[in-house]
Amino acid sequence: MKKTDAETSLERWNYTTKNYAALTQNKDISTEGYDWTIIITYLLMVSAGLTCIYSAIYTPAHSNLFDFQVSHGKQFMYICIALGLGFIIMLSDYEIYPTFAYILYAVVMLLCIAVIFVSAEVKGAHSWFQVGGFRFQPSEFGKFATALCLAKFLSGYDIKFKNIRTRLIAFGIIGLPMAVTLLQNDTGSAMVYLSFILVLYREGLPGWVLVLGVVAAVVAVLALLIKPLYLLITLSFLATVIIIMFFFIFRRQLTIIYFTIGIWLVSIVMVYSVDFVFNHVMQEHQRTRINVLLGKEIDLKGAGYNVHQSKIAIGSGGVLGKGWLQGTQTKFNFVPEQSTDFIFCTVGEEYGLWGTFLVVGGFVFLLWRLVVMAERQRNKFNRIYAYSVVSILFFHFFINIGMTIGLLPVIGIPLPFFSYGGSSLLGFSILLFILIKLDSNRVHELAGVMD
Amino acid sequence: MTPKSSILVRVYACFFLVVGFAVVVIFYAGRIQFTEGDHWKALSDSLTTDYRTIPAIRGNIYASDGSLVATSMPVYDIGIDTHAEGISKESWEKNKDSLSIMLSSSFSDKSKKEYMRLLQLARKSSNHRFMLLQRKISYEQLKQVKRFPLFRLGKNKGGLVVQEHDIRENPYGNLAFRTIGLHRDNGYSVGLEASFDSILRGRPGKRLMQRIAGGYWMPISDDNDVEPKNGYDLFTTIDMNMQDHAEAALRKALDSNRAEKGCVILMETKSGDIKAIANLKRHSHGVFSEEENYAIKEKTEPGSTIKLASVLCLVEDGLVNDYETVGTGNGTLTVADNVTIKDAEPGGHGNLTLRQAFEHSSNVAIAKFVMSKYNGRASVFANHLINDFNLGKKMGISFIGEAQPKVKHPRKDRDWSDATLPEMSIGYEMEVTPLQIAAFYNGVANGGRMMKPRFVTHIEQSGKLVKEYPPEVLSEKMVSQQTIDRVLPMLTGVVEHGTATNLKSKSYTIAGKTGTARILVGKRYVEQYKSSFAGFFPASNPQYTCVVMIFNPTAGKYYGALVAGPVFKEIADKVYATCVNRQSNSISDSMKVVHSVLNVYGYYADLKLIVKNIGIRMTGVLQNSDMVSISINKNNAQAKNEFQTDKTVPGVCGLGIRDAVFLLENKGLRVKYTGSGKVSTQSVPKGTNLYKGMEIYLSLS
Repeated sequence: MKKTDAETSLERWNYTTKNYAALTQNKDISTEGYDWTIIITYLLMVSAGLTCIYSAIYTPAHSNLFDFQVSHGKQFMYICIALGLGFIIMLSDYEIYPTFAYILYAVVMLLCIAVIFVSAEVKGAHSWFQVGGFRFQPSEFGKFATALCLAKFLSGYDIKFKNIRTRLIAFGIIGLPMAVTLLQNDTGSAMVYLSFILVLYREGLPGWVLVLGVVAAVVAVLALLIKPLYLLITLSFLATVIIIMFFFIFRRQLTIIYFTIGIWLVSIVMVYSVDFVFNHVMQEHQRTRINVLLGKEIDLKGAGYNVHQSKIAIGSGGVLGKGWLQGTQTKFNFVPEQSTDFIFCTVGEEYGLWGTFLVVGGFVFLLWRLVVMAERQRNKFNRIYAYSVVSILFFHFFINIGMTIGLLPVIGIPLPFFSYGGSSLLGFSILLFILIKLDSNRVHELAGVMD
Repeated sequence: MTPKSSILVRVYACFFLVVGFAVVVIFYAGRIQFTEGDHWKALSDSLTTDYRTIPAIRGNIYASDGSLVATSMPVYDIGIDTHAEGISKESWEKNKDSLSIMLSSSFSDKSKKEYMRLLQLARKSSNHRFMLLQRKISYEQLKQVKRFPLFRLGKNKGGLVVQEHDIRENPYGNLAFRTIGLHRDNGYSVGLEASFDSILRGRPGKRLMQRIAGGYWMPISDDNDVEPKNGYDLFTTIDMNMQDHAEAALRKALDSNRAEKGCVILMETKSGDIKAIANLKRHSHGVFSEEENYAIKEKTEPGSTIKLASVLCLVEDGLVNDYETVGTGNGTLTVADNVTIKDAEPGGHGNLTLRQAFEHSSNVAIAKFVMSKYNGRASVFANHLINDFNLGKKMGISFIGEAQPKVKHPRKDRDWSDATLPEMSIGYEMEVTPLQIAAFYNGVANGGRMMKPRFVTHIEQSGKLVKEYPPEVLSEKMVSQQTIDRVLPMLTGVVEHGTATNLKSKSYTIAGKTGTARILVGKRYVEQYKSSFAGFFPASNPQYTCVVMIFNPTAGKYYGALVAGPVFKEIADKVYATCVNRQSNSISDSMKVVHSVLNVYGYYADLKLIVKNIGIRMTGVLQNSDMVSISINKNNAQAKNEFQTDKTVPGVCGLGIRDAVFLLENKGLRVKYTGSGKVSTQSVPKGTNLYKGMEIYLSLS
C-alpha cells in the first residue's frame, strides 16, 4: 500500500526523474533540489553589477578590483559576504523560517523604529545605523522580514483570505514597516511595500482593488496635470456615459453601475486630496521632481539633472555602447548616484541597447523563473513568500529603471543585485536565498512522503 | 470560472505586467538611443570634449644693450582637493597635522591651527572641496610644497592641485616702467606692452581634448591641433644705464624743488632713438611713482623753448641780420586788447639783437621780431612750425597714446587773433608734447634732418630677426645748414653767457634753451610754472638730445635754468662721460684685449655641444650639472662645476644677470644688482653658508 501511495504521490507531484533518482537513492539530498538556474542568474547579475560599479567609479588610481577603499572593492566584499550568507542559509533548517518569522519581523521592526532616533541623517533620511566604519540600513531587511511574516500569517490554519479581518491584519503587517520607513523619511523604500498588494492579489484580493488602485494612480497623475475642475467635468461625463451605456444597452448591469459610481466618487476625493497633498504636504524638492517628470518644469540643475545626465549617458550609448570603461558620462561623475541608484545608465552608455536588452531580459527571465517557482510550491507559506520575492524584485526593477530612463519620478531605490550598497545587496540576497532554500524543501516533503 | 483558472489568470496578469514593463523599457531605451540618440550624443560630446587653449608664451622686452626688461615667468597657484578619492581616511588623519605645520612655517601667513581648522572644514564640507592654499608661488616653492606630507604621496593620493600661469616680471622694477609698460589681461595695458601687444602676444594654440577618468584632459588626436605660436621678443632703444641716470636726476630735482611731476627724454641724435624716457610724479614724503607717460601724453604750452622755432623761421627766411635790434622798452609789450607780453625781468633789456634776445630769452624782443617780420604773412610762420618742424601734428610714433598737438594757422583756425602770432612766437597759444620738443631740437642737432622718435629697433623670435624698424625721417631738411650754422651759436650762447650759465661745462659744450612757462589752469594762468630745458650735446658734434620738463616746482625756484637745467646737466655729464667717450674708444679697447684663456659660463649640455662642434676636447666630465664654467685654452676645454653647491652661496661671477638671478633665487637668496653686462663682483662670497632671507648685491660690468 505504501508503495502505491508513493507512486501516486509521484505522479501527482510530477517530479523530475532526476530528483526521483536522487530521492530513491536517499543520498546527500541537501545539495539537491536547489534551483541552480536562479542561483546562476543571481551570480551573473551580481557580477554584471560589479563590472558596472567598477566602471562607474573608475579612476586609474584605484584600478585594483580588490581596493577596499573604493566602492567596487567594497561591493566585491559584500558579494562574498552575501554568498557566505547564502551558503549558511542553504545549510540551515528550512523550518526556522516559518518558526521564527514573527520574531524576526518584530526584531527588524524594532530596529527600524530605533534607527529613526539614533541614526545620523544621510541625504535627508534617518535610515542608517552606523557601526564602526560600516553603515547599514535596517529597512533593507524589513522587506524579507515582512515577506516571511505575511507568508506565515496567511498560511496559518483557519486563515481564509476572504475574511475581512484576515485582510485587515495582512494590510497591517504590510502597513507597519511602510509607515516606519516613511517616518525614516525614506519615501522610496516605503513605496516598495506597496508591491505586497500583488501578493495579496494572487492570494485572492478582489481585482477591483487593483483596478481601483490603477484608476487612483491615473487620476492622481491627471490631477497634477489638469486643473481639478476640468478633470471633474471630464470624469463626470465619462461616468455618465458608462452608466447610461450599461443601464440601457447592457440591460441594467447594476454591479458595474455601482462600481462606476463608486470610482467616480473616489476620483472626486482623489482629485482634491492630490491637489491638497501636492500643494500643502509635499516639500519643495518633491514638487519639483514631480513637475520635472510631468514636463511642467525644466530644471536641469536640480531635480532634472540626474535624469538628464542619465539620459545623455544612455542616449550616447547607441546600439553596441561605448565599451567597458569607455563611458565618458559615467567617468566624470556627471551622473550623481551613478554607482547606486543610477547604475542602469552605465549599462546603457557602455553596452548600448544590447546591454539594456540583456539586463531587462535577465530580470524578466529571473522573475519568470520565480513565478514558476512560486507556482510549484505545495506549501502555502512557501508560495506566499515566493510571490513576495517576485513582487519586491519587480517593484525595484520597475521603479529603478523607470526612473533612470525618465519614465518615472526620481525615487531613490536600488536596482537589485546591480546597485552598489552592502545593505541592499545583502537584503536581496537573503530574500532570494531563503526562497531557494524553501523551494528546495519540496524534496524533503517528498522524502517525507516516501518514508 | 474555477478557482484554479482564476488563480492562473491572476498569475498571468501579474507576469503580463512584468513583460509589459520590460517591453516599455526596451522601447523607451531604444527611443533614447536612436530617435533622440544624436541629440544626447551631441550633449555628451559637448560635456566631454573641448578645444582646449594652449597658451602662447609672451615675448620678452629687451633694452638696447640686450638686458631683459620684461619677461614672463611661470607662477603657480596651489590648493588641495580635500575630497580627492585617493586620500584615504588614515593618510588624512596621519598627515593633516604635519601638513598644517609645514604650510604654516613655509608661507607664514596663517598659524598652523588656522591651517588645520581650514583643512578640516574643507574636508568635512561637501560643497567646498577645493581649498586654495597659496597664490603665485615660484617653481622652487612648488618643488618644496610637493615634498610636504600628504602631497608627497603623489597626484592622486595627495590631493594637491596646481595651476600654472604666467606673470609678467620686470627685472628692472620701476625703471622706465611706464614706457616698457604693463600687460594686464583685462586689456588695460600701457606702454610698449600695449603698443606692441600683437607682436608680443603670440597666438595661442588649440587642441581637441577629451575629459577622461579623474578629470584629466587627454588629446584626442594630433590632427586638430593648432600649435601655439610664442610671441616675438621686442628690442627697444631704451638704454637702462641712461634710463637710470635720467630717473635719478629727475627724482633728485623733483625732490629738491618740491615739484609736482616731471619728465625727461633722452634721444640719440643720429637715429632718433629714445635712449631714456622718465616720467615721475612726486607724492608727499618723497615717494615717487610713474603713473602717466607725460613725455608722450601731456600736451602743454611749451613756453620759451619754442623760441628756437621763431629764431629758425626768421633766420631761414632771411628776415633778420646779425646786427638788427629791437627795443624792449620797459619790458612789456601790448600786442592786442588786454594781451600784454612781459619779460621775466622787469625794466627791459634795452635794444637787443636776435641773438641777444634768444640768449636772454626776452619775450618782448622775440615777439617784436616775429610780429614785425611776419606782419600780414603769419601763415608763413605757421607753415614753418606745422610742416617743417612737425609741431602741429602727431609724429606717428609706434607708441600708443601720443597726444594730438595743436599749432594754430591763420587761415584754418577761427580763433586766430592779433595776439596769436606774438604769443606763438614765445611758446603760448599752442600745445605740444615734450617728445615733440625733443624731436624738434634733435632735428636741429642732426643738421636739419628731423628724425621720428624710435622706441623699437627690431623684433626677434628665438634669436632670429623677424622684422627691423629702421630710423624714420620726419623732415629731411627742416632748415638749411646755413641757418643751423647761424642759430647754433645762439643755442650754445644760452649756456655760455645767457640764461643758463649755471650749466656750463669745461669738457664739452651744451647747446640748449631754457623755458619757464606759466601753467594754464582752465582759462587762467595761475602762479604755477613749468620749467623746462631742451638741448643737445656735445654742441660740436651733437650725439644726444635731451628735454627736461618739470611741473609746478614749489620750493621757490622756477626758472628753467635753475630747475630743469641741472637735471639736463647731470644727465649730460654722465652720458658724456660714459657713453660718448666710450663710443669713440670702444672698438680699439676691445682690440687690445687678447684672451689667452677664455672663460665661458652656461648650461653644461649646450656648452658641451658647442665645444664639440668647434673641435676642442672637453675634460672634466660632470654628471647632473646644469650650470658650469669652462676654461678654454687653445684646444682644451676644462669644465668645472662652480655653481652646484647645496647649502652655500654659488659663485656667479661671469654670468649674465638672468642666469645669476636664476641661480641665486633658486637658492632662496634675494638679489639686488646695479649696472649691466656680466656679473663682476658679488657681495657675498662664494661658499658662504646660506640662511633664509639672505640678500646679495651684484655689480655688473
